Amino acid sequence: MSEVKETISKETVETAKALETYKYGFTTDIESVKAPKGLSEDTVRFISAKKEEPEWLLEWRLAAFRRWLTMEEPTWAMVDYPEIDYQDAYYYAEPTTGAKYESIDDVPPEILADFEKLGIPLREAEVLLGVEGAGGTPGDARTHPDAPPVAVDAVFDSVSVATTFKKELEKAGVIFMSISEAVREHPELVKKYLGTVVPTSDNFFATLNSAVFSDGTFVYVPEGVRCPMELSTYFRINEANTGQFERTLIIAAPGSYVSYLEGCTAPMRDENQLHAAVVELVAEDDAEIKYSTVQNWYPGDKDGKGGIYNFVTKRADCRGVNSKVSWTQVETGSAVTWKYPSCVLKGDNSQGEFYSIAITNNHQQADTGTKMIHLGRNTRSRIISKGISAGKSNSTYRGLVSIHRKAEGSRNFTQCDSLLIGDKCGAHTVPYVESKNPQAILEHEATTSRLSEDQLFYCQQRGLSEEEAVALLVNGFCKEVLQELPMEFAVEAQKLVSVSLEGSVG
Amino acid sequence: MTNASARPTPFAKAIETDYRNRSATNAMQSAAYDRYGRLGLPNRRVEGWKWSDFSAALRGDAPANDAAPVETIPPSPFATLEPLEIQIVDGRVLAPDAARLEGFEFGVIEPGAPDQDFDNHSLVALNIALTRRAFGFRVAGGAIIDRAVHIRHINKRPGYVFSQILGRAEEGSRVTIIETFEGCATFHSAMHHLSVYKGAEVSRYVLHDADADAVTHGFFGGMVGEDARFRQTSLSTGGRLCRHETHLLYPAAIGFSDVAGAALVAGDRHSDFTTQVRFRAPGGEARQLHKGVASKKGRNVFQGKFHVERAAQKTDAKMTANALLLSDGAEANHKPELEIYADDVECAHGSTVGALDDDALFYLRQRGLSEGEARALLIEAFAGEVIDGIDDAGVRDVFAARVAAWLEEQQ
Repeated sequence: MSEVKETISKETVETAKALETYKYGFTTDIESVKAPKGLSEDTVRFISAKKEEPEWLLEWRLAAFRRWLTMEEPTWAMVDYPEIDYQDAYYYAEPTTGAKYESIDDVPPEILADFEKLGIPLREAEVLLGVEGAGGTPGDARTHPDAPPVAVDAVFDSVSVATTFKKELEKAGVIFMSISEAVREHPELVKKYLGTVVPTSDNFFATLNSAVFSDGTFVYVPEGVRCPMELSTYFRINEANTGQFERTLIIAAPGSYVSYLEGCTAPMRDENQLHAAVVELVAEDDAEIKYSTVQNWYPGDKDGKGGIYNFVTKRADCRGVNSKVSWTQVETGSAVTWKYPSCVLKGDNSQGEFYSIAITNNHQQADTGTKMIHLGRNTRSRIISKGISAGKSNSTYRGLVSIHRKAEGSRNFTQCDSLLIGDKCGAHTVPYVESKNPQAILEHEATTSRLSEDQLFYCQQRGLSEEEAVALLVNGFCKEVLQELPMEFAVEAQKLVSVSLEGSVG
Repeated sequence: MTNASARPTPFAKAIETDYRNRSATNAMQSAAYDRYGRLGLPNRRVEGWKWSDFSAALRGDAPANDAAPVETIPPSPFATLEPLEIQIVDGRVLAPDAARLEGFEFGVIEPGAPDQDFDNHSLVALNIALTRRAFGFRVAGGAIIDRAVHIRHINKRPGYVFSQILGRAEEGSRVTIIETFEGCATFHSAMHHLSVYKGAEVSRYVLHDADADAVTHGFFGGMVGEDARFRQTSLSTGGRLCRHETHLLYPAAIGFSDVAGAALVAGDRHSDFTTQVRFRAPGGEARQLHKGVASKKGRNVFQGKFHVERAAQKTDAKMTANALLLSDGAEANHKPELEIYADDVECAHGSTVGALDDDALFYLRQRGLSEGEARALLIEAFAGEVIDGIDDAGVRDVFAARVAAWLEEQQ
C-alpha cells in the first residue's frame, strides 16, 4: 500500500510542478523569415514563391483567397472570443537555417534542445533527423530496441525540419514527407487529391487555410501495403503572432493500412494565436486509416489570458468499398477549440469511428464533435465522446449523423457523456440526427452528471488525495476512448488527463 | 438572418400592409414589429430552423384576404366530454358569453406578450406585432375546474392568421386545457402563454389535425412555478409545414413537467416539435418523450433542449425521442440538446431512428395477422407510449381513436 502511495505522490508532485508553468511554454530563440504582416494576394504569392510552388497551386491558393474574402466567420459554435483581426498576423514563418540538413551538426542546437524538452525522440540518432548519409535501420537507432518503431516528421513552425525513417518507409513504398516536398516530388498525387475532401470553398477557416497553408504532412500508402510503423508528427507554434496553417493529406490506396499520430504542444505566448489546419484523409477500397491526436496547446493562463485558437477542419473520405477511418482525439489544450473530425462514408460497407476526450479547465472553450455522413449501403459509424469541464470552462459536443436516401442498412451508435467538475463550468450536447432511409438504425444516448460523491469518498478513504481521486475517476470515465489510442499515446494521454484537471478541485 | 432581400415576397408585403393599416399600435407592438424586421423570417440557415424553413414555405403568392366568410363549424371530436368550448375562427375569438365556470374567468382581451423573454424569436415578434384580439383566462387560486376547457383553432379560409391566448393558473388551482388545430390557413401563428403558479396543476392536450396544406406555427410558453405541475400531451398529423414549440421556464424551486408528443405524418406532411425547458432554480424535474412516425414522404422533426442554469442544482431531466420510418422517402430529424451550467444534476437523453422490428412483425404474422394488421398493431403500440400517458380517460380515447383512424387512412 505504501509503495503504491509513494509512486502516486511522486507522479502528482511532478505533474503539479509541470503545471506551475505550462510545461511546454518555452520559446526557442531562432531567427525566422516572416511574410510581411497582414493578408492579401501578395501574402499568398509570397508564400507560394517561398515554397517554389508550381503555377497551378498558386492559382488554387488565389482562388481560395478570393473566395475567403466573400465569406463570413461562423458564429454558431458555443464559443466566445474577441474578434480576430486577420490583418494583424503573420502568415508565414520559417527558421532561417532552412529545412534541409546535410548533417546533424547543421541542425540548430536550439531546435534539438526544444525537441528534447518535448520528449520527441529526435536525439536518438541521425537516422531520426533524416540527415543525409544516415543509414541503418530504425531498430539500430533506438535506445529501446523493444519499443515499436515510430517515424517522426517534426513540424517546427511552418517548415518541416526533420523527417525520419524515410528509408525504411521507402522500402515499403510509403511516401511520408512534408506537403511542400510532396508538391515538388509527387505533384501528380498532390494535384489529384488536394482539396478533394475539403474543397477550397468548404468553410471560412478551411478556405483561409487553402489560401495560406504553410506546410504539413503528406502520406501515401500504396496498394496492399500495411505501413510498417506508426507515423507521427509533432506540431509546434513557435513564432509569436504566427498563425499556423497546416495542411495534411493522407491517402490510403486499396487494401492498405496506416496509423498516424499527431501530437501538439506550443510555447507560452500572451497574444492569442490562430491555428486553422485542414486534414484530408482518403481511404480507397478495403483501406484503413487510423488517425490519433493528442492536442495540448497552450490553453491560456488561469485567468483566460492568451492561448491558442484552434479552428480545424478534419475530414475523411471513405470513398472505397469496405474502407475504414478511425479518429481518436484527446483535446486538452487551446483556449478555443472548433473542431469536427468527420467521415464521409461513400463506399458500401465503409466504416467511420470517432473517439474523443475533450477536457476544458480554467477559461477554455471547446466546441467539438464529429459528422458522420452515410451515403453508401451498409455503412457503419460509431461515436464515443467524453467531455469533461472544470474551472470556468465550457465544453460542447456538437455532432451530426446523417443517413442519406441510398444508405440502406446503415448503422450508427452514438454515446456522449459529459462530466462537470465544479459549479462554474458548463457542459453542452448538441447532436443532430437525420435519417432519410427506413432501413437504417440510429441510436444516440447522452448523459451529463458530476463525479460520484461515493466513489470520491471511497478513493479518499483508501488514502488518495482529492485531486488524485478525481484524476483516477476521470481516467475511468475516459477509458473507452483512451484504450483506442496507440500505445505510445495512451500513456501520455492518461497523464495529460490528470495534469489538465489539476487545480480544479478543492 | 436579415430581411433585406431585393424584392419583398407577397408575404412580406401583406404583413407590412396589415401592420401599416392598423388604427393604433402600442409601443410593445411597434418594438416587436421592428424586431421582426431585423430578424426576418426564420430560414434553414438559422440554427434551430434547419429542418423547418418558414421563409421558404411562405414564399408563395399572397392569398386573397377577403375570401368566403366562415362556414359552419365542424363537430368537435371532444364533444362527448362536454367541455367549455372556445372557438378561435380565422383568428377571431368566439367565446360563449352564456357559459360560466366557477373559478374560471375568460374573455376577449387586448393582445399582449409572453411573460418571458423571447426577443430573438422572429415569429413571436411577428405574433405580438400583428395579433388583434386575444383570448384571456384566469383560473382562480385554489379552484379545481372539473370541466375541461377546449380551445379550437379553426381556420376556414386562406390568409394569414395571428392568434393569442394568455392565461394564468393561480396558486393551488387545477385545470385541463384542450387545444385543437383544425382546417387550413396559408399561415397560422398561434401563441399561447400560461403561468402556472405555486402548487397549481395544468394538463394541456394538443391535437393538431389540420389540412395537408396548413402552415402552422404554434408557440406555447409556460412558466412552471414552485411545486407546480405541468403535463402536456400532443398529437400531430402535420401539414405542409407545422411546428409546435413548447418553452417552459422553471423560475422557482421544485417544478415538475412532463411533455409528450406523437407525430404521425404521411404524404408530404411535415411535423416539427420543438421544446425547450429552462431551469433557473434548484430541484426541477422534467420528462420528455417524443414518438414520430413517418410514412410516404412525411418528415418528422424533434428538437428538445434542457437548459440548466448555474443555480438549478439537483435538476433531474430526461428526454427520449424515437422515430419510425415506414417507407423510402420518409425522414426523421432529431436534435436532443443539453446546455448545462450546474454540476450536481442528472440529465440524459436518448434518441433512436429505425424501421419496424422485423422479428416482431414475423412473430405477429406467425399468429395469423396480415402484414398490414401486424404493422398497424406495432405502430399503434409505438405511438401508444405517448397516448397511454394521458390521465384523462376521455381525452385518451379521442387521441387513441385519432391514431387508429390515421392507421386506417394509411392502409
